[in-house]
Amino acid sequence: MNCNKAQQAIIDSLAAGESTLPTEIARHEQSCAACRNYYEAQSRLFRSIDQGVGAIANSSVPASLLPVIRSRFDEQAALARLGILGWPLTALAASALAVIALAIFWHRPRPTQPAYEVRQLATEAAKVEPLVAATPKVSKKSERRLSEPRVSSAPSVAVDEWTQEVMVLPEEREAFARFVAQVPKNPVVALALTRPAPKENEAPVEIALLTIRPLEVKSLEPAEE
Amino acid sequence: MQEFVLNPPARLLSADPAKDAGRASAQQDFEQRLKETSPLAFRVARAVLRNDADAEDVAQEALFRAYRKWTHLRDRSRFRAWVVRIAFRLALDRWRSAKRRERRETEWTAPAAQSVALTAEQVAMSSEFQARLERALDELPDKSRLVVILSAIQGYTLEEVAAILEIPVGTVKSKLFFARKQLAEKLR
Repeated sequence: MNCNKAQQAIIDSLAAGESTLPTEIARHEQSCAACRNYYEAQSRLFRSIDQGVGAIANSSVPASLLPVIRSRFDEQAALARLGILGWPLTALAASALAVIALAIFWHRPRPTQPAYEVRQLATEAAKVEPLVAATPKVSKKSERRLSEPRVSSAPSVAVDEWTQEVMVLPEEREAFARFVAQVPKNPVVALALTRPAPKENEAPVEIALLTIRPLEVKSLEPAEE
Repeated sequence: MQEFVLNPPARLLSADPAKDAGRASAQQDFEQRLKETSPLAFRVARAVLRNDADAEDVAQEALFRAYRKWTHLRDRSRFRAWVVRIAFRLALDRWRSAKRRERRETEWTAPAAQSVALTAEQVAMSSEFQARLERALDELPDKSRLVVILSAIQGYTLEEVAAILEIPVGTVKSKLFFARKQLAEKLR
């Protein structure tokens, strides 16, 4: 038998953990000194490996292992208990905080009513396009309107609509707003004073000209017959 | 080993006595399995880390994780395999991070050639051989390494190792065979 093949078979046999060599290999090993030495050396090596791995794998278990695990389990149990109690407590605390925050928001200090309204109305007024230019320039449209006879709204139109048409110079708006703020009870009316007039989308109603019928002159005295 | 009595976690307790009884039984079952498994978890971790303190930490962590998930484990006969795998994985993670740290700090030095005249016992006990063996073990593939470690633990047959790892016995034998050959090649 080839020594190389025999030595390979020896390695395989030892690696497989077999206690004896196959018959053919054993016969060769008995007859070949080199293979016998090889077998002895490799047996020694594998025994060393087994013992070394055994020493690594069979270390003594420390006595503290289980008590420490148990204490960790107890800690976990305590945390779990805290978790069960803690959840409703957290929810309660969060609700209480929310209620307090709402109460503070509701009762927060506010500015006095007139000043507040003045500011608000002035802001509103600032947004509005100027009804009258700062310079006393009159547009053609306005000129025509002024020259034309006065056009009034139809009787069905609410009185409010034309009474809302208020022209305020820009530099007077704040003062006017202050004035409006003093107009107390009806904020709609007050606000309307600072807004532009609604565009007239209805056909104007013309007033018919006054016609004078021919007069028939009669004497006051009875006619003499 | 010290006597170990496990207190059931509070979150498992309920107002229902029947449920509590069932859970108490489950806890007893867990306690029994814990006693059987904790040395194995420690030894697996110790074989990877070669450090008692680290191995203890890892075993505790593995058992603790298993404890937390105990109620979710459907097939409780797989508990041992589960813990072993957790312990092995945790140990590998720790070992790799330690290796990285070590590699940053020191240079790897090649071992000197061994003396052939020593007996197997002397060779096995020499720190030099042990260091080389450990290094050779570290270089094995993870699964082969675990097979070698579990097979070397006293009291575990190849069939039990196969059951722990949930692989066929033939696979265990094959992995062990190639791992031993690889170790021998590295140590020759």
